[in-house]
Amino acid sequence: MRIEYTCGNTALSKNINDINLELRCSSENEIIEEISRLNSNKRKVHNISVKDTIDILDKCAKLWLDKEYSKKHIEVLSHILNQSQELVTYELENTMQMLLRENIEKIIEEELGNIDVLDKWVKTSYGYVHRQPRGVMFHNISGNAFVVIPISISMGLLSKNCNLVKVSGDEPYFAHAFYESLCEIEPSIKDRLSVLYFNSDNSGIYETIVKKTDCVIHWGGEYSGKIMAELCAKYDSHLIMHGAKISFEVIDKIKDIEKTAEEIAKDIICWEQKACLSPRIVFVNSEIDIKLLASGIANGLQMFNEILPKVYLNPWSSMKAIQDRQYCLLKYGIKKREDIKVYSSNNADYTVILNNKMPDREDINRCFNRFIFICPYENSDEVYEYVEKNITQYLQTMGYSGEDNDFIEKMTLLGVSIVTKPGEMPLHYPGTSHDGIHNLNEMTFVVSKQL
Amino acid sequence: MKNFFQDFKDNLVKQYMQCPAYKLICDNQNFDPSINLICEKDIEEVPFITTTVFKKSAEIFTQLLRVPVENIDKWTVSSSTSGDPSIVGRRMCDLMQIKKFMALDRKTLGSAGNHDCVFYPKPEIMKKYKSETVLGKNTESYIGNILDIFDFKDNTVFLIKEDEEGLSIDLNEFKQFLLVHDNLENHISIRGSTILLYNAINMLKEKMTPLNLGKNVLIHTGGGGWDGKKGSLSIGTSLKRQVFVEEVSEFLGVPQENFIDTYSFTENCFPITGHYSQEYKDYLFHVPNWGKVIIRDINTLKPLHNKGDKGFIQMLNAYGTSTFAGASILVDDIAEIISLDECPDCNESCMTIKIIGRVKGAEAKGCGATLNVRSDE
Repeated sequence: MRIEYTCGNTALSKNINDINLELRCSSENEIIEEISRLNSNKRKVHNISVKDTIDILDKCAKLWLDKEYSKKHIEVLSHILNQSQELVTYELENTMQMLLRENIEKIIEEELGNIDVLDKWVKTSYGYVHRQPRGVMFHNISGNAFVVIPISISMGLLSKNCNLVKVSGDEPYFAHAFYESLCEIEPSIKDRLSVLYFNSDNSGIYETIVKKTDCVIHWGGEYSGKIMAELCAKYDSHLIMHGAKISFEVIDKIKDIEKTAEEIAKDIICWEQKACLSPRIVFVNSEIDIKLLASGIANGLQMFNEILPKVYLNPWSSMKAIQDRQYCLLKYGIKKREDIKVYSSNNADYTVILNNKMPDREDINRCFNRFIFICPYENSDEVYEYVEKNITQYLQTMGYSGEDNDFIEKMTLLGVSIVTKPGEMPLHYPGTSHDGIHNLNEMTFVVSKQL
Repeated sequence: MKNFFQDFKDNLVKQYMQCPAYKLICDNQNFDPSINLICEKDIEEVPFITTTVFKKSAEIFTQLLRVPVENIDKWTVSSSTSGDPSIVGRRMCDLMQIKKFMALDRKTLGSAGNHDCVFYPKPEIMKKYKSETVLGKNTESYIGNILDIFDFKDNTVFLIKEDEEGLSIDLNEFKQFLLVHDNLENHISIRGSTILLYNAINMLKEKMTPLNLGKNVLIHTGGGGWDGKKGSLSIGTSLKRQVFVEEVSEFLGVPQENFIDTYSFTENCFPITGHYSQEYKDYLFHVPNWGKVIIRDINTLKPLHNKGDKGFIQMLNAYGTSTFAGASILVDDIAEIISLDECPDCNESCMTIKIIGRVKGAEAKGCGATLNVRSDE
């Protein structure tokens, strides 16, 4: 399958889970030309009303929510992501609903306070306020949770920026498909959106891009995030950082163990735990029947596997889960002589590790593809200390069940930026912050008029 | 070695009692070999140990012993393409069992030639190569130990020499060996590392014309390397078995049916040997009756029973694992079932499989962080 991006003349072959992709790679000169083209459109783009962009996004969302339209894309995405078509459909529907008119309007109101502020001067106590775009924005997109693509692009368009999007080599398909769908609805979207691919090994291209654009939004990769941060500092470019994150759940009090277990299972399944918001550890108050909860989570994972199954297009994902499961069982059960019980499928479908101690930091890296640690705590300070010691710099979402507001306050002071109920970790209600910031807010700057 | 099932059951029951790590795995799956291993069909339910838990980095290998550390004779280590070798404690009695298997397998391994030429160092050098002491016992290369128990003749030429910089191949000696036997149809064997042999042949192709060693030559490779890597060696690309056999056969003037390959790994005990089939363009491996192989579905992990089915390889050992928990091992290689009962190429009555290769993969990536532990410590 050949993917033609906005520009690029060199072909790069990639085989992802036995699907052959031919990516059009852009050279540095082609990217410079593209940035220059976007730059020249800044004025024109600024004159497009927010209402017009909302119309386009709403139509685009409805197009993707049409099963006939999205079918072929789901097939391809399922293959590339090594996720079942059922799971991709579920994720895609949730993602696209976010772009529907009522949700977009709510996002603008919640993030910027007024839906008109991007189009006009809005009256304030001191005079008027208006939001202006930063200019040409570079989107450095990560691979496995495709939700970031519509978020990043839609916010870039709504904020009236001109957008240069670099797709990930791990999943180079969806950004292009989304771009094509926008072009189908409104061909002039090309004036303010460019989607391309280049070989990341060439760090010189990144430097050129940062130098010639006004703002960078970075998703995912820690290593590339550091490079982007250094370049943005060097060229004084505004950086919106959505770097690598880790999320977890804390179950302090519950009414219904079975229901909570089911909700946690739902959180684990979404994005096969590859998203920043996916839980890796569930901390449970030892007053709760933790064995019942752990087996309930395993049952939930088994039940959801019927509806949103796992696929094994790559044997590695199966083998790795089996190896990791056994390694953890022996490491904690034999080497460390801890009290451990593994609730798992016979195959690699799911692994729930109930351990009386919290896992070593490096084993958090094993928590992908329906693999989770359940750890009891006597006192919530233990959770705080573990999180502070091991994952402070990566904190994002905390699924929480309980009533301890002091604990929530402490954890958010530590860096947790979203607190939500179990079962709602993958849901971003319109207007909620993302990694402690509002994207529209960051993608624009505030102009005050005191005339 | 009388009744495989009964011997396997005895071995497994002992392993369950002697190795707490294996017992924990079994208990976690509600499997007690004394109770649940009643008939041959039950073998498919036997819990396995994955090869990765034997890795040095896992630091569990001492817990996978069935005897106290002080009772083992040595730690046998894999060649470690990844830099993280498997470490398996063994006693001489277990190594001698492998020697017995080799004797029994003489039919497939080929009768000893009058002259052996081997793409490995001498066994003693190989065994001691990069040896270290772990808990008072020396580590030794597993391949070195296999070489040590192999019946090489006194005049065997070992082409890999130890020098100041490590190990190097003596290409001239190989060239001389070939020239001495050219056009004579002597009974000779060329054995050893696939990559080293292939590299040597490619180098010689530039220096000399093709040879005609004849129909009495056996080309016996082993130790894998078909993915283009073995230990610290790499040819940068995977090596197709067909390409290897055709090219080497053509250059040396040896019939393709004289090519055999041995599949073995450090955590297992019985090697299996395959002969090259021109029809299948691949080596067909015979599973001997002193061992058992189960091919498990990649998705469900259930045992597969049909010709053409591909899956993970589980190897069941009734013998030779009295020191370590090696009775049931799941290895991260994929094989295809050619036949459950008869080799279609030579009609020998045995399960016949084709080795597809190592499971390759990459870690999950995304906006979910992967912690870089090393840099923080």
